[in-house]
Amino acid sequence: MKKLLVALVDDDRIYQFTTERMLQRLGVEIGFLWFKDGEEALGYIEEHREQPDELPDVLIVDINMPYMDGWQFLDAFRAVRATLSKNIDIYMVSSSNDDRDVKRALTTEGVCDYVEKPITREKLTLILAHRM
Amino acid sequence: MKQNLHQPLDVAKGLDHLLTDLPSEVIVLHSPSGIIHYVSHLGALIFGASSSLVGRSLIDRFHPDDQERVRQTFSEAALNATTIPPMTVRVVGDGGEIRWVVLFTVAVKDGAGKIIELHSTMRDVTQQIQLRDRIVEYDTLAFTTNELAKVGGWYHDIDTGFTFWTDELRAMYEVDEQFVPTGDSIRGFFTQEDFDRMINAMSLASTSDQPSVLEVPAHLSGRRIKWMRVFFSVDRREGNTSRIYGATQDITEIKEREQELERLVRELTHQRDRLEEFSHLVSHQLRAPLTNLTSLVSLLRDTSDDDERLKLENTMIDAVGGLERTLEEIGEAVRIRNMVAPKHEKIYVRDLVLSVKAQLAQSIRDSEATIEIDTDDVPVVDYPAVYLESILRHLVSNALRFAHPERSPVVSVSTYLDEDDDFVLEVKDNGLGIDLGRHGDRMFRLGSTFHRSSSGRGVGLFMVKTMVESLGGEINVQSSPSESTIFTIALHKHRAEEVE
Repeated sequence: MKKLLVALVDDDRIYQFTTERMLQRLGVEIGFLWFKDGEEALGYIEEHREQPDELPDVLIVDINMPYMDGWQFLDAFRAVRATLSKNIDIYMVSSSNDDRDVKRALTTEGVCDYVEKPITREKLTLILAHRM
Repeated sequence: MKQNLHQPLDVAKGLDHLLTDLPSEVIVLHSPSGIIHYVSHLGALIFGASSSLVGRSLIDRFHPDDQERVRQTFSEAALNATTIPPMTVRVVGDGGEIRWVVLFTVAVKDGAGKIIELHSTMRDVTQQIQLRDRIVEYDTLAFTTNELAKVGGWYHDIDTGFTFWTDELRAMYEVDEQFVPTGDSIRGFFTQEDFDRMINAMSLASTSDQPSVLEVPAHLSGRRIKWMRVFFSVDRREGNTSRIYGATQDITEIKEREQELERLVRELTHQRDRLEEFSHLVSHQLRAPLTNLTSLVSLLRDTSDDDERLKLENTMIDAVGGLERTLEEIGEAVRIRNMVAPKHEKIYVRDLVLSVKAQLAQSIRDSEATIEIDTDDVPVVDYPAVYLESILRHLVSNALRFAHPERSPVVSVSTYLDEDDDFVLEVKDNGLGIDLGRHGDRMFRLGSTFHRSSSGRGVGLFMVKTMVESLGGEINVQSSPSESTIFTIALHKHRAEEVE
């Protein structure tokens, strides 16, 4: 079985650190990619659009990012999604408890779910269970 | 003479009656001292006398306040044999009732030209006087109520095209009696659009039988505006519309209060939105590092590896540092928002720019930047210097940080007055520019940055906006990516001329 690849799009370096550590402690071999903003993530995805092994299975996208926020990333991602050789599950995350974000995430096509920070091992397990 | 003003007064009918009925006159022949020799048959009625008047004093029949005047008239008529102009006096009946009469006295002479007695004619004008009093009273009441309610009247005769304005209406439009109200002259007070609305309202009133009402701004001399509420009503004679009647009320004060209220509602709504946005941002800014700490604690609990523990502990120290910085920034923002009446002072804008230039000297030298200053239009202002300097430092510093890599930065700081006479401070650069299509709505939010290479924490513009708004001003941005960015800060009043 191929190992799962999880990508995090978040400018918060500490959040990246804790997420990576939690994935490591799940007891399964999981690849991890970190992009500090949406453009970096899009650049990578477009570059590897025909290489399914290099594309993430799961994309965890922070809504509140300074340069390009999660929704702006999603708009741009939608344009390339159909050209990809792999289906990517998208989860929107935020530390905000803003109902508007939750509602928007749950009603936006292509978004699997909204996950409130902090991300925990249990939440990660649920997210990954869909792809395992 | 009190009249019941609630009684309907038919002036036209009253006048008809008085003009067509035979006058009620009484003739009295009497001595110069007023002893009555003869009184005609209406005398008992007019004088309200219950017994014969012959041999009694005519002067005693008059109201005590008028008796002296009557006495003088009689003696003048007797002495000079001249015709005395008629006078209006009161007679008091036996029952105390008062009637008004016009008294006209001439001397009667014998064949030798000697005055033998006086001939007085008295005409009962009680009804006329009462009517006059009522008219005066109504007129006074109408004038007072019109003045209190700021109402003027008018009518437009459709057949003749004649328009009449009352004096009150002329006063409201600040025109004298020379002003002739016509379509063309009235049009001059209104915009074409408002004038057309009035014509439509008048047509509506003339066709629907329903009075209509309209609120329009009238433009008076000196660019002053008075708000008028105009009521239109129609008078139909024999089924045809012949006259449009109207009342115009000056509602400027009401309108100004309304506008002030609307402004307050807008301002409060804006403040509420800002507060909501602020609390949302604060909540997010605080939650982000706290959630990190929660995760780190959870990881720390689950590990026994010393190296890993050390890494986690160091990361926790970083997270706590981030939280401290965030708290400081939020505290600073709250401090600015809550600061009451920051001290205003006279500021020479050029000196302020030079001060900022000195503070940023190192960055200016490193980037070979040019700072242009043009404060000729508004050289001196009156604001809290600490705010204005901070705003300027943030904007100039941003311009230097986000300079275009292919050219030396040129930052122009200028001042001018906009069309609302507000003071505008403008900072223009030739740097990277900002993609407003992408970032416009987040431009001044806490924690937003617009350049990938930015090392900023997205605090500067948020603080600038907070300061500008605490001064009651507005900040706007125009930008062309890769070309330039222009920040304009418009602040109300407090130019230096007003404090000097």
